[in-house]
Amino acid sequence: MKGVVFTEFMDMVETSFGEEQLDLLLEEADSDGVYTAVGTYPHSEMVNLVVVLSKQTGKPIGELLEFFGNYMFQSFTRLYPSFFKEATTSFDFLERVEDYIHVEVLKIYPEAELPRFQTHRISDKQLQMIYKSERSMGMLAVGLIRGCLQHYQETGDVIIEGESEDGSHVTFLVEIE
Amino acid sequence: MNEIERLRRKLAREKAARKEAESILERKALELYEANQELIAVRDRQSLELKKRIAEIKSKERVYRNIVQNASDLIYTCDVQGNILYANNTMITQSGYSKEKLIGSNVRNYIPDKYKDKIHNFYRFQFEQKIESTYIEIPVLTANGETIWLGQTADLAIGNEATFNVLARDISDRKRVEKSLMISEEKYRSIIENMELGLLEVDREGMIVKAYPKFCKLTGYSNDELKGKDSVKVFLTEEAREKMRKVNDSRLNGESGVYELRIRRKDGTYCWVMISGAPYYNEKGQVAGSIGIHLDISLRKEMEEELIEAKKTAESSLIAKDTFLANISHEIRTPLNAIIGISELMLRSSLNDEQRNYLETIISSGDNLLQLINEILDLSKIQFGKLKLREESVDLLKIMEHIHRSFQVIGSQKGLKLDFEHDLEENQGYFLDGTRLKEVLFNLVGNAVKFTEKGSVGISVWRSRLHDDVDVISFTIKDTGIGIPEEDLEGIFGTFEQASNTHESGAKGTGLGLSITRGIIESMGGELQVSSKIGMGSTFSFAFPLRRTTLLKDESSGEIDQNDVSRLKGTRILVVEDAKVNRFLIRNIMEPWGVSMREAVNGAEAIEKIQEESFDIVLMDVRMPVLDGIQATKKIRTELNLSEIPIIALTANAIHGEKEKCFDAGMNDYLTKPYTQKDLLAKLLQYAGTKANNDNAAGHINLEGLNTLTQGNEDMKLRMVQLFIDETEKYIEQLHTAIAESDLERMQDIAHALKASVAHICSKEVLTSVRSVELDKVAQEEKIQAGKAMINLLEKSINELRVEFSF
Repeated sequence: MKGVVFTEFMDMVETSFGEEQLDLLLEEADSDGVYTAVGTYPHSEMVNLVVVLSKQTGKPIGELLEFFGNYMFQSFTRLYPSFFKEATTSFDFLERVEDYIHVEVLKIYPEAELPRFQTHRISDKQLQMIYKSERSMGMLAVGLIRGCLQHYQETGDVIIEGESEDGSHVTFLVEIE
Repeated sequence: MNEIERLRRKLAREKAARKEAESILERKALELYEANQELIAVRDRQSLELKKRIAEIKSKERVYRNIVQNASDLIYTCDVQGNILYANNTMITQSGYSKEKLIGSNVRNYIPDKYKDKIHNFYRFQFEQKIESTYIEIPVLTANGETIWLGQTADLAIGNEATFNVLARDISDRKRVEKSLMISEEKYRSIIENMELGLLEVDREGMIVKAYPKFCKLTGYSNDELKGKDSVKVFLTEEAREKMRKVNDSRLNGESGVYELRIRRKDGTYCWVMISGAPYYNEKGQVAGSIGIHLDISLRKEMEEELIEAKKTAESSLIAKDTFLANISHEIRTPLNAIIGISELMLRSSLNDEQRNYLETIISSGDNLLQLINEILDLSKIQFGKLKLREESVDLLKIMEHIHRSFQVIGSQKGLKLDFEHDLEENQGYFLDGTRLKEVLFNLVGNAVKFTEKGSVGISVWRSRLHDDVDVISFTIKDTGIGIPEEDLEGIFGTFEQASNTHESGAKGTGLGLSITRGIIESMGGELQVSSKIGMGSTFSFAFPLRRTTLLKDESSGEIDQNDVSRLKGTRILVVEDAKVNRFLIRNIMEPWGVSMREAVNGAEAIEKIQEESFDIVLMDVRMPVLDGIQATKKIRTELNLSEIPIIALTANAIHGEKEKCFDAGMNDYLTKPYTQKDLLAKLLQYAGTKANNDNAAGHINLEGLNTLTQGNEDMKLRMVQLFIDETEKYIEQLHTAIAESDLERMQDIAHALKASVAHICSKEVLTSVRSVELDKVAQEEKIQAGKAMINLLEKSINELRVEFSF
């Protein structure tokens, strides 16, 4: 997993739960906390951090992931503003994730492991997104999507239509008003 | 944990993270660098490769450009509007336009007006339909105003811009050939369609494929009526079909031929055609059928038939004329014979001078008439090539001298000199027809004398040896007379023609003479030639080969030998002749000879008489009613079985083959009317001997002749016999010598010398023997044998004489 996820996660923990919480988290997770955005670290470490955080904060993992997803999206808008210039609606943007954004990402970080998305615009107000990833972080995806809606100032919701048992395949339905 | 600790730890974490990022950065930078280097290397490699490739392409391009530039075909490219972008050298040279003019110009400019739109539409269609490649033949105007035809393939290339890549070939020649072929085809088609000769095409089985207009016209059918029909069934009769099948077979074998056929028209009438047939071949070279050209020869066939008819008519009329001539001559000669004969008889009786004169005139006129008839007959014989020469041993020199003498008299009366020069030997005989030669010479010399008023007539006879026994004798008769105009030279030989009578002598012949003379000379193997100049004279000449022989005893005197006559005494002769006059004549001639004569008027009576009496000789006229001479002779020979008795034919001898018929029927000899008394006597003597001989068959002497000769004078008889014996014995000795020396000539001379006396005293057998030794041309051995036989017979004769006369 790309280092940017870790650095953003730590920033989120710091801003949302305090510096102390961060220390605690790092200590219990047995992580040195040394993460650079350009680096690559084992996915299992992230999972571990989320699990420990969930235990320490008492918040469910899914909720934490969703919250993180939203937070990260906002970070992305600050870090990579070029990605957001051409898309004018959330649907536009979501449709571009697979074919454009992730492609650009791979250019710079060829070894990045990114989830696969398939989009079907059912109507003006409905978008189906199918998520495939071995890391099974579907809730993170939800958070990102919500973050996207928020960024484009659209009111709507995202629900999970279907999900495989191991969580590697998830079908989201995004509805806006 | 205090805040500073936390901050210190955060800082440491940040630092560490930063360091890690830097390291990652460095690593990435290095990767980048290396990737870059690789890229540069690749780029450089590729650049090199590119350069190489470009060079290759450039060089290939040069090659192709060269090919294209100089291809024998016109190669050009143009845009879809037709503006020329590129033109190769060939295009430039062939079109005659410069490169500058061509490039950028529109193709339309070079196309003749009436083709512009059509071609434009053609290529627009190709472009719109995106057809990859098309072919079209178009006319193009060259710079010098000519029109050439191009066969061009245009490929549509759709690249950045669409272009037409065109490959064109000059097909003007082919177009020209096509055109002239078309014209030629048209010409021939027109010829065939309109030919006067009818053309018929049939396939291999003889089924009609096509009948051309004139053929249809000829036969009355239309092409449609004939198509598919069996030509043989439609046109031919049964007989012609077989012929046709044979012709067809040869046609299938690839042979051509010409033949005539009778074909049936639609309306049932027939016509004759000449067909020239030839096979024709399909593209594989096999016989596909035949073509026949029919020419209507009905008219010609008609003419042919008419001609054949005419020829038959002419031939039969020729035969009729021939027969008529023969009959006529017989009819004329018989009374003529009587006139002359009786006149001659009358001459013997006592007449006064006036009567004698008249009679001689009658005889002379009769002779002239006879001669005329003979000439006419001769001429017709000559015309039919039937002139027969009677060749015998003749003293040529004597004949020439006789003629010379005769004409000298006539010539001197006119004041002419008659010259005769020759190189003939004395007493040299030649085998020829003396009578005919005399005719010729009489005619030519006679003409010469007739047509010469002053000067001379020269006769020359020269001989040159050709073989051992053949001389070529050339005769020339030259006169200094009035001459013959050049334009008449050929004509004088024509019958009844004479040279123009512009001279004063008024001389003319019967008009037959020269043509007969020429005919006789030709029969003898020569050619009569004449050269003449008006006022200078004429020269007639001819020559032929003659065989040398020994001369026979001179029998040219015309008088009757009384010795001979007496030998006929008592001979029994039957005369069979239907003409009363002729019987009268013969009777009057023969009675003084002491013969015993009986008469019969026709063949039937003759047979009756022969059965009643025995005769020594029968004189048989050929043409008689009831039973003619030929039939009668046959009967005598076969039914009466009398083969011995001599039968002599009395013939007019006019018809070719009559003599042969006589001999075939069994006659022994013939006498040609009119015959002289001498002729008759000689013939009778020839055959009278037979009977006389039969009486004296045993002996070798015949004293009748001697008795007659000596007229009962015993003393003379004795003396003659003694003389004979002495002489003969001497000759016998000489003969022995001659035989021993094989001197054949000597033998012949001896025999010749003995002949006369033997004829008077000895029998026929002896005489025959002597004659054979003298005359027969046989091999040496045979001659010697004959000589020995002759000696034998002579000795026998002498012995018998001794006995008879008690010597």
